[in-house]
Order: sequence, then structure tokens, then C-alpha cells
Amino acid sequence: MRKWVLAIVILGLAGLAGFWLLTQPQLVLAKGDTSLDSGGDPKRGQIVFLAGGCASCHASVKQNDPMKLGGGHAFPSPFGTFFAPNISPHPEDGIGKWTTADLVNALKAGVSPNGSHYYPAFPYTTYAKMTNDDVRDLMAYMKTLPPVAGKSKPHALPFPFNIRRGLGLWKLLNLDTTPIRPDAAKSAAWNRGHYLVEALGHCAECHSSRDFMGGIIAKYRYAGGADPEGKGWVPNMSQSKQGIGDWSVADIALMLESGLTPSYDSVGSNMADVIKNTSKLPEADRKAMAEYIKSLPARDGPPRPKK
Amino acid sequence: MIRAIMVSAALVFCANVAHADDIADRKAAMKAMSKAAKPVGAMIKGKAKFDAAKVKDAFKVIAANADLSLKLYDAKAQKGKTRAKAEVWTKRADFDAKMKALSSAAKAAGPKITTLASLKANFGGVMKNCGACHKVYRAKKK
Repeated sequence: MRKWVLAIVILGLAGLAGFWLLTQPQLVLAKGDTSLDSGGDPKRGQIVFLAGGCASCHASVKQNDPMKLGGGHAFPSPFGTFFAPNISPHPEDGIGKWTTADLVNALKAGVSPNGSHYYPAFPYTTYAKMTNDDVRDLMAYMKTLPPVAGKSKPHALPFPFNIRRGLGLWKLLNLDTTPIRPDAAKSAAWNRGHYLVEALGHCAECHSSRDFMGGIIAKYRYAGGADPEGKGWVPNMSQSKQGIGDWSVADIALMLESGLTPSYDSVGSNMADVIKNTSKLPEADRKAMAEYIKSLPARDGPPRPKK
Repeated sequence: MIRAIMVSAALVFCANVAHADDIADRKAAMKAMSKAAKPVGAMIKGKAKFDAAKVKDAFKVIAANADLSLKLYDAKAQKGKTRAKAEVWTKRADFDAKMKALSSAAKAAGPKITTLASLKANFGGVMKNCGACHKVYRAKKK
């Protein structure tokens, strides 16, 4: 009898040790790396900020200034409710004390400065493909924004989703850190659009269907899916008939500029927030995104749940 | 006594009937704004020749329909086949402000547009008012 108990205890400890090792946060830059702490261009950083859509999630609630990044916006999900943190340059309540390496690790590895995993409601699965130079420029821009006092609320997550360490396993399955390589066979505009959409715009994070763990299902990427916030359906934006196959590059670019679809409807709900950002990008960047989006493969989404 | 009741009932009936078509009317107003935007969008996409007069007309139509729409959201016209969310009526002041902002922006932009460049510069400023309202007050498509 004793032998069995001992065996179970040893296996249990081995399991925990294995879990601990597998879920270790993987940093992109070593803590204390100062190589990116200067030389950032805030003007380029503003474009990164707009394309990345930071303000749409992190702007302070109950006010209209997208530059006040005090957080607090609630994001209901199948796993509980997340609250966007304060990312203003406030030294105590925001990220005022962060180094650029901290921001790189947050955006690209989903790891906080104190070494814990972030929840992927923060779309680091997309930002993982940003260049470090863009993060440096972004940091320079964010330092010019006003510090906002007040920490945001902690997330409201039931067990077991409140165990952050478990995200290490989620990342093994869902976090692809392969950098984006330019495709020499495509135009400069397409390559720019590829980067803007896949490393910053994070369109796929809403416009895809996800599995039970919340990871994007590859064959339904861009093919639309249930709104992660629980209500409604996010449309198919691939080139299938179910999606935007009959839109031209100019149609896509006009929508990103004004919110107007080819039938001259004006997009609403969360997409209106996207347009608030994309309408401020340089026209060439919108055209680049449109060119890339037009080249996405045609995919039909999953069968829709019965109403 | 009975006459008083019947007159009141008739008045209530009329009041409700008077608003029964508001949902249809405001959908028509939205479609009219959409239809007005179409030739302007074509010019920006390079599919139609720039025509300042057509642009000014389009903005006039948009402003007129925004003004008309303000009257079509009476409390009695809440229920029915509509994507207007309950917030229209619980946050009425903000809803009205946004509709008025669209009308003002369209009215202000008209005189400024003389070239394709000035159209491109001013178009977003008018159209962003559509999104500002749709973001909060229009229900998602199922």
C-alpha cells in the first residue's frame, strides 16, 4: 500500500515539475536589456499605435479622448471578464517605469515585467510579429501621451482560468513567434500591408473562429466567427462569396478610410472603433492593407449556430 | 362618460398609429443617406469624375435626412423590426447630439469642397459621424 502512495506522490510531483517547466515564460529580450531604450521616433510610433489599435481597448472609459489610456474597459468572454489595464505613462498606475525591453516582452511574448503570463485577450499572438524597432518607436510615442492616474480592475475569471501559469500551455499551442519575412515575389505595398495586418492590425483576432480553448482555428482564419464578447457574429473577411470576394482593393481602402462598405452602409459596433484608427493612417498604408486583404485565400466559415 | 372614454381611446389609438410608420421612415432616411454617399464614394475610388455640384447635393441630402431622423425616434416607436438599440432612448441626449453632429458636419463640409483633394480631406470628417452612432446605438447583425 505504502509503495502505491509513494508512487502517486512522486508522479504527482513530477507532473507539477513538468507543468512548471513547460509553462515557463519565454522572454524575447533579457530583463534589463537597454539596447532599445533610446532612438525611437514618436512620429513613426504614432502610426504603430494607430495600426495596432491600442486606444480602442485601453482608452479610459466614460470619456472620448483616445489618448487617455487609463484602461478599465470590460471585455466579457467565455472565460470570464477581462479589464483592460492602464498603459499610460503613469509611473505607478501605468507603464511609466517600463523599459522598452519590458514592452517588447509584453507585446511579443505576452509576459509582464514581473514575469507572469498575460491573457491572450491582449492579442500578443499578433503583436509577436512586430519588429523590435516598431516597439521602440511605439514606446517613444507612448511616452508623449498624458499619464493617467488609477489602476484598472483585476480580471474577473472563474477557476481554472484564473491560474495565469496555465497560459504557458496555451502559448505552446497558440503562440507562433515566426517573424514575418518579406515576399520578394510581391509588391512593396503588399509586403507593407502584410505586416500592417498580420503584426499590428490584428484583424484575424476578431474575424476568425476559435476552438474551445480560445485559439484561432487555422482553416477559419479570416472566415468570421462568433463575437468573442458573446453577442453576434463577426463577418467573414476572406475572398469567398460568404466574405468580401466581390470587393475591390479600392472598396476595401475606402471602407478603412470612412467605414463605408460597397453598398454604402456604414460599419458599426466594434468595427467603428477600427475605422477611428485606420482613418488616421497614411493613405498609402490603407491601400497596402487593402492590397493584402484582397489577396487572402477564399474560406467559408463554420456552419452558423441555429438562431 | 362613455363618449369621453371613446374619444380618449381614439386619441391614444391615433397617437400610436401616428408613430407606427416611424421605423419604416427612419430606415428610408438611412437608405437615402447611403444612396447619397454612393456617387461621392465613386469619385474617391477614382470610378467617377469629380463633380463638386454632385458632392454638395449629396451632403445636403445627408444633412436633410439627419434632421428628419431626429423626429423619428419617439418613445412610441421603440418596438418593432428595428436595429435601434434601447440605448437610443436611455441615452437620448447623446443620440440626438450625434445625429445633429452628422447634420452639422455635412452642412459645413459642402461649401469647402471644390476639388477632389478637398473632397478627400473632408469626406472622413463627415462619415465618421455615421460610425460614431452605429457603434453604440445600432444592434449587431445576427
